[in-house]
Amino acid sequence: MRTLSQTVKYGILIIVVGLTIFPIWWIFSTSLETLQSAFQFPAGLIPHGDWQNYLAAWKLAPWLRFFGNSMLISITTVLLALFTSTLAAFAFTFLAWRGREWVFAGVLGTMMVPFEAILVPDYLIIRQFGWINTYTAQIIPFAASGFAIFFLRQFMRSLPVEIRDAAHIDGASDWGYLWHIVVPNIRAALATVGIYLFLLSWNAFLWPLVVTTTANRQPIQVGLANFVQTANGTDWTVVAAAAGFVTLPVLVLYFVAQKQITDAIARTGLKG
Amino acid sequence: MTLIKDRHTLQTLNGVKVALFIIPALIVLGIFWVLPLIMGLIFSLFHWNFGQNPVWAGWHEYQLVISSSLFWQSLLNTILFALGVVGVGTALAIVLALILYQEIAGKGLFRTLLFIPYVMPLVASSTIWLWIYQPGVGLLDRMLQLVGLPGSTSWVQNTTWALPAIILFTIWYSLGFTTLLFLAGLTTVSPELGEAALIDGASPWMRFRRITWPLLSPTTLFVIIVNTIGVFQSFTQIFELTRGGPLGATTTLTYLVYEDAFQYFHFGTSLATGVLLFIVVAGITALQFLVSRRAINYGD
Repeated sequence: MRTLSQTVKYGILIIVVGLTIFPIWWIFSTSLETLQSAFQFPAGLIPHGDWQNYLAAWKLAPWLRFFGNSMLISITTVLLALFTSTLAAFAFTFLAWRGREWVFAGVLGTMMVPFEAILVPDYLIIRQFGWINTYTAQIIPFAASGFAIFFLRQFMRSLPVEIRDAAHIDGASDWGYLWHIVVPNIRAALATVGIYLFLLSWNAFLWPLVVTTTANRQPIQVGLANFVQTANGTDWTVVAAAAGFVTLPVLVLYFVAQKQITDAIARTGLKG
Repeated sequence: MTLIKDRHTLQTLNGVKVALFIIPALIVLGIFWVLPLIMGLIFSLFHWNFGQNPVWAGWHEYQLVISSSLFWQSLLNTILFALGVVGVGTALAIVLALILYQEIAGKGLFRTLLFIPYVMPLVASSTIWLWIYQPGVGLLDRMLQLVGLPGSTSWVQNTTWALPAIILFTIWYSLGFTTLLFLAGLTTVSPELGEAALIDGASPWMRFRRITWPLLSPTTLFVIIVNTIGVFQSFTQIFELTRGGPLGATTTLTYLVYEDAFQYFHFGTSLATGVLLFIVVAGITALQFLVSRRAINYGD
C-alpha cells in the first residue's frame, strides 16, 4: 500500500515535470538540428550537435546591443527604484508629518492600477516629453514602486524602537540613521524587492514594444520578438537558436541564485 | 514670541526634510501612474484619432466600446482565459504541492525543474510554443500522429483551438509559480493536526478535506486572485502566439487596449477600454485587500 502510493506520487511528478521541461529540451535540440532533420520525428529529438544555427541567428540581429540595452535599463531601474522607495518608506515609517496616512493610502492605491490600463495616457506623456525611443522612457516610469514602498515599510516597522532612540541620543541625524542603521538591517528585504524589480524590468515587453522604434534602444525581449516576426515560418532551427541564447543567461542566473529568486517570488507574489 | 517663531522654523525644517525623502518617489508615481489614470478618465470622454484634435464626445466612446461585439468577445475571452488557467492550474498546483511538501527523494530537483518556465523570458518561451503548435510538423501534432490521430491542426490559427492553446501555454508557464505559493502556504499548516487525525483513523482524503483544505483556504484565495489579475494583464504570449486572432478569438481586454491604440490608432475607444479594464482589475485587487485582512479558514 505504501509503495503503491509512492509509485503514484512519483508517477505524477515525473509526468508533470517531464511535460514542463520537455518544451525547453525541444528548443535546444531543435536549435542544434539542420532544417531537414528538425522535421523528422522522433529522430529530431536527439540533437545533432550542429552549431550553424547559433552562428546564423547571431549574425542576423544585433544581439549584444539588445543584451546591453536590457542590462542598462534593468540595473538602472532597480537602483533608482530601490533608492526612491527606501527614502519614501523611511518617511512613512519614521518621520511624523501631517497627511502622512493619506499620502500613504495614495501610494497603496497605485498598486491597484494595472499598467496596461494606463498604457495609452503614459504613451502620450512620454511623447509629450520627447522621450520616444529612449532609455529614459523605459526607466523613469518605473523609478519608484508603490509595492516596493509598501514592502520596505513593513520591514522598517518591525525594527525595534530602541535602536532608533539610541541613534538619536548619539546625535545621529535621520539621514545618518537611515544609511547606518536602517539600510543594513533591511538588507534581506532590499534584496527581495531588488530581484522582484529586476525580473519585472528584464521581462517587460508591452511598454518597450510601444515606446521604442529602433534596435539601438530596444531591449532583448523586443529584439527577439522582431526577430521571430521577420524569420517566422522560414527556419525554425535558427529561431530556436535565438530563443535558446536569450534563455540561457536567465537559466544560468536561476541556477546560481535559485533560492534568492524563488524566495523573492514567493514573498512578493510576483506575476508577469 | 521667539519660542513660537522657533517652533515655526522647526516645522518648516521638518517639512523640507520630509519633502526631500518623499518627493522623488511621489514625482514618479504622480506623473506616470496617477496622472495617466486621471488623463484616461478625462480623455476617454473625447473623440480622438491619431493625429487629429480631440473633440468633446461625452459618453460616446464608451457607447462605441459597449456596442462593439469585439469588446464583449474580448471580455468573454478574458473570463474564459481566467477560468481555464485558474481552474486547471490551481488544481494541478495543489496536487503537486501536497506531493512535494512530503519527505520524498529528489524533491529539490523536481521543484527546481518545475519552476524553470516561470523564470524564462516570456517572449522566448512563447516562441518555443509557437513551434510546438505548428500544424503537421510541430511537437504537438507529432505526438498526436504517434498515437494515430490525424495531427494536422493549425492550433493557433483556428478559432476553436487558439484560446485553449493560449490557456495551455499559460498553465505550463505559471504552474511552478502557483505550486510555489501553495508550498509556502502549506508551511503554515501544523503537521500535528494531521498526525492527530491519523491516530483517530481518518483516511488521507478525510485529512485533506477536513484539515489541509480549510487551513489552506487563505492561500487558495490569494492564488486565485493573483493568477486572475495575471491573466487580465497577460499580453506577451497573445502577441507572440496569435496576435489576438484568428477573428478576435484570443483578443483579451488588455490586447484590445493595445490593438485599438497602436494598430488602428483609435485612441478614444482604447482609453475607454483601458478605464473599464482598470475598474475590473482594481475591483479584484480591492477584494484581495479585503479578504487578506480577515482569515477565512474558520468557515466551512
